[in-house]
Amino acid sequence: MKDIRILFAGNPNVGKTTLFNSICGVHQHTGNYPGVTVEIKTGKRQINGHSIIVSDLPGTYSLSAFTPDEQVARDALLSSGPDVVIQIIDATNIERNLFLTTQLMEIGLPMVIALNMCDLADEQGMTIDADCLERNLKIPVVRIVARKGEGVEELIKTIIQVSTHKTPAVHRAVEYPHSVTSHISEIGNYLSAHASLLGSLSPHYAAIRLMEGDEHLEKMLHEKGCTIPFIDTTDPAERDGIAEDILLARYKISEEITTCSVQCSMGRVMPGDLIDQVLTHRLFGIPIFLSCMWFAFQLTFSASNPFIVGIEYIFGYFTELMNSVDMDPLIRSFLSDGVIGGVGSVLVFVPSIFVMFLLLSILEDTGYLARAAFVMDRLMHSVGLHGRSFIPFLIGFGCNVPAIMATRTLQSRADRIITIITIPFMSCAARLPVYVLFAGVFFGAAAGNVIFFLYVLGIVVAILSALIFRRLVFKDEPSPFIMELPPYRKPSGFAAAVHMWFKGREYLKRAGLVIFGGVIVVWALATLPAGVEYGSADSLVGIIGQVFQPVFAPLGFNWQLVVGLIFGFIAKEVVVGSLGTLYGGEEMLESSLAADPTLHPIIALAYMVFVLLYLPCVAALGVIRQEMGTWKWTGIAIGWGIFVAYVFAFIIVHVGSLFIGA
Amino acid sequence: MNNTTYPHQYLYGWTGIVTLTTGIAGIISIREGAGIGTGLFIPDIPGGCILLLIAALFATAVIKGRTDRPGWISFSYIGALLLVVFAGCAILVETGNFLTLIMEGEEAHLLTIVSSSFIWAAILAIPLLAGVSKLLYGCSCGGDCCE
Repeated sequence: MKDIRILFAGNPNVGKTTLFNSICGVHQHTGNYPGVTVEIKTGKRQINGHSIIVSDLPGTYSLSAFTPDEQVARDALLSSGPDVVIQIIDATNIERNLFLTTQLMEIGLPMVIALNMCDLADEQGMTIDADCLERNLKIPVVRIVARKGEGVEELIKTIIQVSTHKTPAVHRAVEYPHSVTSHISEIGNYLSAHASLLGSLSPHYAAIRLMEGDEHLEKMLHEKGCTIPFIDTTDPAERDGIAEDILLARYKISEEITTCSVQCSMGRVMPGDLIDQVLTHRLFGIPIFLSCMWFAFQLTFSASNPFIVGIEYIFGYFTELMNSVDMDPLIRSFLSDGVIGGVGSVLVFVPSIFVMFLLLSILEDTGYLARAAFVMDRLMHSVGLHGRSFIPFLIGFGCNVPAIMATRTLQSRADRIITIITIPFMSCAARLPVYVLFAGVFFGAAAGNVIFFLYVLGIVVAILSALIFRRLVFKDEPSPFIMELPPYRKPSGFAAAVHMWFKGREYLKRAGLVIFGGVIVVWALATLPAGVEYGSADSLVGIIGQVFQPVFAPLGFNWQLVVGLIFGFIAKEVVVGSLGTLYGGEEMLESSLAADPTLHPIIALAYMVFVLLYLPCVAALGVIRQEMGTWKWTGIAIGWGIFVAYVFAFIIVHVGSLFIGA
Repeated sequence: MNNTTYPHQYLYGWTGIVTLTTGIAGIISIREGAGIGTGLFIPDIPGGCILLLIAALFATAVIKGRTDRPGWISFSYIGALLLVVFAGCAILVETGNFLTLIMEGEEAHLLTIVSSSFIWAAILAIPLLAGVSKLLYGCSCGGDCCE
């Protein structure tokens, strides 16, 4: 069986991951906004005696490698030596996509172009002559609709065909002006004599990259002692002029090819443009976004509530069953207090998690979340955050771990650090059970409003933190934000349901492993030393809670709540699991909290705010360390979170107490 | 552009009516939330504010419609779409609350499901949504809305 290694390259949000899923039969998360793929994903498909190994690269507009994800894409293209590079092109925006094509062609690898979203192009009245495109580029072009799987089999056949060609790929060359070609030859000749320094790069391609101002390559050659002709001997202004000539030549060829192969109805106003007038309006944009989020959280709470009550009945039934069976008291306590009480109290909130993921998925599929990032840009920029930071923020509503990784789409290191520090303030799904529990018990009908307030508070604290870090630490201006708005799409119920299931399944897996482990530890500590009353102040967990409780006394937290915070560091779901174990099981949790004389709505609100802000989970901290590359900033992120959480909870308790007189 | 030349003057007039009804629904919700209402509708201050926001979208559509026909279409389309979608959400929210009360053995009234001001405002917006959707689609298919 012959292995065919292919790389998927293309601009962001052109459907690379959708095609990857379609070919490999997997379910990697796809998004209707750029930055969903920030690292290479690999899959495999066996067909007609060939084993096709597919690598999905992060989206990139060019091979200039300004951002870490662009760098990943470029390095993979240059060093992995694929058999075929598949460039996925958005059929509704061919000209812009061809700019990357001009760069990919120069690498000299065999290529196939997958012209995706042809259905949308047809809807927009565009007529695309794929044959003309193919003749002009000297690259096979296949029309596909990756979302529906149309044309994918033909694409695979073309890939196999191209990979078996023995002759080297010859694509159309970009016609540069003479001033440029003479310098390319000069540098190329020099580099030919030093070819060993270039690795897999051809001297011609390396010369073009240097002329375009590739700082990485230039630095690498300087470190190896090279004095590059023209680059090292010409003043920067002249070099900039040459780089501009190269850019213009690329745009010219992209325009020429588009003009001859695409016919569109000029002068028509697209519905998406008209809708954008309102959804990205400078006055209405943000209120509309907040309204959508408010309804999303109302639904998350209210629509999932009947299911929560149903699951509570089921767990209640099992607890009663357990109590009616004759067994060792320790085993009964383990099953009843530990397993059902702890894990059960987390699992009852699974419907809320599913509803929230479903709603976020629908909003994302329509293309609205990308508009939300766009409207937030002005606000983000004014406080020193990059507009693109809002996309990791949105991802952070699901889970902070991929959100932190999504900061790789940011160009400046300062923007990345600020965004990474502020992402943990985005309320991930694991924190939702804490809100649903406390808001439901202490705020009744206003629970949905309280949950919405917490999510907005997370965004506000993130923005304020960014402002502080930008003013005090990173005093440069954030880089400008250019974002392509994806087309509006009718959300697919099936795709949303699949997305919801996969995200929800992750939560269930965590419930089965991390959370189960966490609550068992809490149960064991609540049982030991032998002979003490279960979960009492004399048990080990009671002692631990009481040791730390004085720190939290100004916030009004009792020792049980403190234990929840300590174990919540493993995973936020463990907060509710721990409380379920300590407050007499899932069935009793709500009534026990409501009856606890040390708790009232203000303390409940302060506790929810503390859980929102204090610390990300262990997994998120690991990724922060990995992305920051230093313990210093990881430590700052931890310290800042705890400080902000304490200050906000303190203010809520003491200002709130003035109103209720507690 | 003079409005009397509109081929869609009824739809344009309807936008004005929906602006008023949505604004009134918003004020009712806020009054109910503040405890000075009739008790017929669900008290909902944030929901009332959202209705006022949508009323402002419709008002902008009416004002823009005097000189900028695509502007009228886009604002009234988004206003009507949000109103209808939010009304659907309100029904789901109230159904969820109703079922929860039933399952917990508490007193619940079926009529609460349709007591949200969103639902009544949205009923009037449905014809508007249908009309402007056609016009919006017409813009990309050589229709006359953007002339």
